[in-house]
Parts: sequence; structure tokens; C-alpha cells
Amino acid sequence: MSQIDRRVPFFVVASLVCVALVPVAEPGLRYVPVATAIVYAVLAVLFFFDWRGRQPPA
Amino acid sequence: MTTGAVLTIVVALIFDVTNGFHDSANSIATVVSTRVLSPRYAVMWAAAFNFIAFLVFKTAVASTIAKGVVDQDVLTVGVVFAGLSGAIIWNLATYWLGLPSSSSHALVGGIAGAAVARAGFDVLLGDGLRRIGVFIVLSPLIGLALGLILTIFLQWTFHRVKQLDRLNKGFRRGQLLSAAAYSLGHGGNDAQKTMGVILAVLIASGKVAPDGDTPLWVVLSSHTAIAIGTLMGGWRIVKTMGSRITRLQPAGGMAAETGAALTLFYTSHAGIPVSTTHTITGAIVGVGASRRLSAVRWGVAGRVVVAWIVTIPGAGVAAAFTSVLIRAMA
Repeated sequence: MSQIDRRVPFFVVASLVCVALVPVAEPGLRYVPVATAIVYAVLAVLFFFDWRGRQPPA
Repeated sequence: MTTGAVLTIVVALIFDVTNGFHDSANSIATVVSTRVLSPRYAVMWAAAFNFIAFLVFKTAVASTIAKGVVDQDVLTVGVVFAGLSGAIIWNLATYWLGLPSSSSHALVGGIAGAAVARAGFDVLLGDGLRRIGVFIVLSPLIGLALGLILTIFLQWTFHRVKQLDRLNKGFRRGQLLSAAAYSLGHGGNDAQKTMGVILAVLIASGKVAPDGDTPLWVVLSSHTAIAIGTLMGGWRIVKTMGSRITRLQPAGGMAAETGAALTLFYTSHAGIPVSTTHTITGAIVGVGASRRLSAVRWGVAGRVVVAWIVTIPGAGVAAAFTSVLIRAMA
């Protein structure tokens, strides 16, 4: 199995950064880091499955 | 109005011109590199949309700068002047060091630093600074996600199209709209920072009530100044850069500009001053990341992160020194 697509950990880290910003953000604007964290988490999952789908069968 | 107040307003408008001058490359680089417009028309296109942004956006960002960073009781003309001077000194120093520092963050740091030098840390308004601080990190991340998603969307939508010339022609036309949208967002967010400074001076001088709106002449002069700066900066690019501007595919340029424009529209509407340069940098990184991570110039992205960390404290210290100097001379 080849090395994982580096975009996957990148998106995971970006998602975690957004999660870390949630408690710091103003209550009225907390939906922005929450939504951005969800988008990055979804991108990480999609890119992970895309990478796994490209692997040759074992 | 006192001479000090008039001088501060003039310096604020000069700061606005330098902002347009500095950022014009962001607005026109992609349309010029893909030969959608000649440099001359690209500059005029960007400056026109910088100017008419006042018809689209309200003045929420200006209010945040004038009323949301420090307690209005300490926001005297001297504090605003020291803050502005600190921001300019920081911008010049980082320009010399080659650090992609944000003029917007420098302005916020400058005003905060000058006010702290005057009356201590208690005058800082936690809510406003928190909002600005959170979006220093969030705006490039939102731009990156939108740049990436729009690029993937365009690739998926048009991947069966065989007539590539015709497709590129369509994207080039689309870039006219995306460049206009980006210039609109740039004018909307950045001109309002100058409006905020002038509004603070007018409130400190008693010309506008603390809860008053931004006068129309302030709105028009700030948008005119940023448009003039864009025109001047563009001519410099025409002379010095020519075709050396980084090459982007029309679809990628369109996605990056649209992603950055959407981020700027939202933040301008919500009254959040963000760095337009960092936002478009994030969106371009997003376009590059749609291919592979190694397509991204991580050195540039790393320097942006350093600029996030050091700009507000750095400009704050420069403004605090200026404030102390002004008081010593008075």
C-alpha cells in the first residue's frame, strides 16, 4: 500500500484548528468555525476514500 | 476640526492609497496572466470595482475598527494618529523584510498598541479583538476550502467536454466576473478600514456622535483613495512584471478569485476586518491542493502563518513607541 495522500492529514489538521477556534469565537459567529471544521472533516474523509479506491487490490 | 485631526485623516487616506497600491497585483494577476484583459484594462477594471463597492456593502467593518477594538473614551486623535503611524512603520519594515504582513492586522494592532500605551490593557475590547483574531486564521482557511471545492466542482462538471478551446474561452469570460467580484470584496473590506480610522477621528473630534453613522464623504473618499492606489500599483506591475506574473489556468484563476470574493463578501457583511491578501493566498493554495499538496508553495504559506503571529503585537509595539514619542514632544 502506497503512502497516504498527504491532503488527508492536512485536512484533518485544518479541521482540528477550526474546532479549537470554536470556544474562542463570539457566540453569534460560532457557526463559522463549526461549519468550516465540518467541511474540512468531510474533505478528509472523501480524499481518504479516493486514495484507498486507487490502491491496487491486495 | 483641529490641524491634528485633518492631518490624521490625510495620513489615513494615504494609508488607503498604499493599500490599493500594494494589493492591486492580487486583483489583476490572474486576468492578465491568462490574457483575458490587457494589463491596462485589467487595472481599470479592478479600480472601478474597488470604487463601486460602496454601493454594495454597508459600513459594518468601519464600525468595528472605530468602535470595536478599544474603549472609545481613550480613542483621541493622538491615539488614532499614533496607531496609524505604528501600522505604517510596521508595513514598511515587513515590506523590507519580505514578510507578507496584512495592512488590516497592522492597523488593528497599531490602534490597540497606541491605546494601551495611553491607558493600559483595560481599554482593549475583548469581543472585537476576539472576532478579528479568530478570523485572522479562519479567512484563509475558508478561502482555501472554497478554492478547492470550486476547482473540483468545475473539473467534475466539465470533464466530459472535448472542445477545450471553447471551454477555456468560457472560463476566461467567467474570470472577468470573478475578478470583478474579488475587486468588489477587496474594495468593500479594505476601504472600510480607512473609513473606520476617519470615523474614529470624527468621533474623537466631536463631529460625529459615538453611535453615529459614517458620513458619505468619508465613504466616497476612502473608496476613491483605494481605487487610485490600485491604478498606481497596476501601472507599476505593467512596467515591472509584464508577463512574469505566475501562470494559472483560467478555471483555477476563476475558482481562486470566486472563493476569495465569497469569503470577503461574508466578512464585510458581518463587519469583520480580514486580510484580503491572506484570503486570496488561501484560495490559491486551495486550487493548487486540488492537484496535489506538492503543487503548493508551502514557503509562502509558512510566511503567512508567521505574519499572523507577529503582525498585531509588532504593529502594537511600534504604535506604542509612537504614542510615547508624540506625548514627549507635546
